[in-house]
Amino acid sequence: MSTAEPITTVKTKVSFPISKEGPYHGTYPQDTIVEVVRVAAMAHFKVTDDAEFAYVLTHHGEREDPNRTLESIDDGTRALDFRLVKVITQG
Amino acid sequence: MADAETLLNLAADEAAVVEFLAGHDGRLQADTEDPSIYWLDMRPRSAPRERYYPRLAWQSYPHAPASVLFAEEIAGRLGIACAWPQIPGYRAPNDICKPFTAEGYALHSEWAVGPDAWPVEGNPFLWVVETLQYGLDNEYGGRYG
Repeated sequence: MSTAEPITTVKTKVSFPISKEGPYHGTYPQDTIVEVVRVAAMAHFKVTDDAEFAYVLTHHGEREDPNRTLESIDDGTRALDFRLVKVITQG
Repeated sequence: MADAETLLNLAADEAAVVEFLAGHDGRLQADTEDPSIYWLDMRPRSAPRERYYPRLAWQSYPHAPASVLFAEEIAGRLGIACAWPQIPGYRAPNDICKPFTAEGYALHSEWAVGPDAWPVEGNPFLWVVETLQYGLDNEYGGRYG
């Protein structure tokens, strides 16, 4: 019999309104960091960072630290809704 | 007054904007005289009592950006500095100099093409409102004036 702890996963959804694609959905181990989801979502939406702007993930309006784990954000529902935001730095 | 196509396209995208704003203690109100103009009621995440009222005036949706200016209240006066939040790129009471407003694109012709070009796919109305909310939630430095 295995004594390994079960791997708990978190379902993620990332919305980005200016894309032909629908929302990005991915399921990750709970110790995955936000940056992994951000990179996957950007690939899904076919966007990349640029010298003049960057894409960030927000959760409940707050910009998330890319090094946080999904577990540290999750409120127990094992499901996280993010928004991908294009942060414009010039102006 | 905007053309019929613009009004139809705005109507199609409006529900998602209403839902988004409701989730952030905000609301959307169409202008009583010009349906291509919308008034928003928004607040920063960090300052629940501070209310801001952006006015979005569309000319050709989704083909061109809206004019985005802050008013003193819903359907209120524009051009009042203390109606504006302090956010990088927001130059009260004149314009938001960023590539998501008609004012920004008018000042920077180089934004017309390339990665800064106005997006016409998806729901640009929602994108503009999300961008405004992001500024209020993450870059807010208080009220002007």
